[in-house]
Amino acid sequence: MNSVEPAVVVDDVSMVYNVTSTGAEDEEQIPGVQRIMRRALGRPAIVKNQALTDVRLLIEQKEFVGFIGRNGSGKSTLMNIVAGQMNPTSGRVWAIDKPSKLGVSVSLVPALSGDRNIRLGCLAQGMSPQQVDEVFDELVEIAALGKALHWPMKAYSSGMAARLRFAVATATNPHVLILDEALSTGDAQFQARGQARMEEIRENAGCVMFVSHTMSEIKHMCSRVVWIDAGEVVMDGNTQDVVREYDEYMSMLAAGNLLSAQSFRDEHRAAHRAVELVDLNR
Amino acid sequence: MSETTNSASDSTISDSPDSAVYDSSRLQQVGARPPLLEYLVKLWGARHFVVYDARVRLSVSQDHTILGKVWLVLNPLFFGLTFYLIFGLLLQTNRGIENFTGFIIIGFMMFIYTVRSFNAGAKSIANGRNLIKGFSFPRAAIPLSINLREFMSQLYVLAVMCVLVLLVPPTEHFGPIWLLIIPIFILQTIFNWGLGMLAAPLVHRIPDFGNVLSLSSRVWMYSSGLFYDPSRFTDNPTILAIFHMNPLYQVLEMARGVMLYDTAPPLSQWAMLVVWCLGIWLVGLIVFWFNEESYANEQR
Repeated sequence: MNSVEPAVVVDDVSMVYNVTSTGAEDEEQIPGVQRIMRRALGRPAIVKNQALTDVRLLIEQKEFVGFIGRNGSGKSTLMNIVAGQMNPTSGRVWAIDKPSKLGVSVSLVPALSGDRNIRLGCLAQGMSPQQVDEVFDELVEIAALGKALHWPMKAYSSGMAARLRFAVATATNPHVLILDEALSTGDAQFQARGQARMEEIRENAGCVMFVSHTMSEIKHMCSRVVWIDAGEVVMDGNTQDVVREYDEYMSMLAAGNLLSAQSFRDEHRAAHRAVELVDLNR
Repeated sequence: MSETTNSASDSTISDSPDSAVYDSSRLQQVGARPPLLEYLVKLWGARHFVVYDARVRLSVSQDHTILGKVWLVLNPLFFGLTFYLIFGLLLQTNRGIENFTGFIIIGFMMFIYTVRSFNAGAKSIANGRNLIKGFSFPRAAIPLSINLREFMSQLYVLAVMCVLVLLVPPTEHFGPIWLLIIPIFILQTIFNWGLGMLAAPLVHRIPDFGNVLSLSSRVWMYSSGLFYDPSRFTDNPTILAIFHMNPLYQVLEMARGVMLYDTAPPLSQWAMLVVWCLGIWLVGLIVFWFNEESYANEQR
């Protein structure tokens, strides 16, 4: 038993989506009156999609944690829940501070120009107008948008929008920064700049949660990696080990060895023991 | 293949510590709804965001048009002139109402304020999705900002309304009693704000209500005496009482009394409007706050 100062605690989080489905075979259908009603109205059936199952994580201050997994494995769902943008079906998330998340879809208010979006985003995070004035020039420099700064955001490329959102999301020096493939649309210059900024935030007693499919990025930046598959934590450990195993799993899949890949995954899943969380306040 | 598999998993079995003790009282629960008072304090903390959001959204609201912001004035002006053209010049009707053109202009301009705010407020969660997804301010800031935007655009409408009442025959004269329009306007704004907070969670949870909104505002228009004075049609005290219970009817009646007929509304009318506005506002606030955690959820 060791007492720690966590930055983020994910306490037994599960997430079940109810989604409409036009081919409702494999998922579990919602029961009862609602289903009959929807059938009578000719509406598509609603099925349950288990996106996360009993995820338990503890992230300490100054940790830089990478999250890897296949598409649809539940990474983004977990990030949304930790950021408070989605409520888990069960379980709770504790954080040392309001998490600041930067996702793939980064548009703010499309009709507003870049500089107004920067100001609006900063105010939305609770900064005062004076504070915004103080950091505004710095943010403009981080975003490095040139004359596009004064264009409406709907005219931005995805990379430009990502730059702007990154500048806004890091403006308050958040203690918990979540990046969900946010750097992937940027060019090399922006990625280098972004990595430097994240390092600053981590130094500042914060933690960074980082989702990426680029293993070189993960290896370069993360001190710990969590491998998620089918909504479950398969592995959680130091970067080298987890990335090596994940690479092997992915190459099995790519080679078409689906069965051996499956059993490889299941072995790791069985070997993984989630951290036992003890809350002193309960 | 299986040998490497086993050895690999053996070497990484001890991946994380077995147990960890932490103190959740030193952390905050993500996305949890704070108590009502704390919520209001947080909403106050978001005031700079609310004001800026309302201001810039109003300023770009007509950017897709050629004339731009001029439309904020042109829209009410054209409506007012249309009423004058039809009722004042073509039909020359008054339905037994003194200054019928002014009666309709004031009725219409005050009425559309509530309709616009109500519709925008009810759909505010969907319209503010990007900001809600991006940041974690108290969500009541969104309907507030939308109402503030409508408030600011209504200032143009009210200016046009006053000018029309002064210039379009039969003209009225400005008197200090006109200033009573200000508290009426403020009370109406509080009413709209509360109504938006009441409708927003409903439309968010059951999107089908979004389709009923325009119907309900139509029904409301007919029951607010926009184009007529209900006492001309019925002596039935029950029906008249129902009309008088309608807060919007009271708003229109009070505004017309002040601007057209030089009559200050009696105290009982003020009292009733104040009770309606504060009541709706309080109920709206509580309902909106109670649903605070649900706004993060996407609709299917």
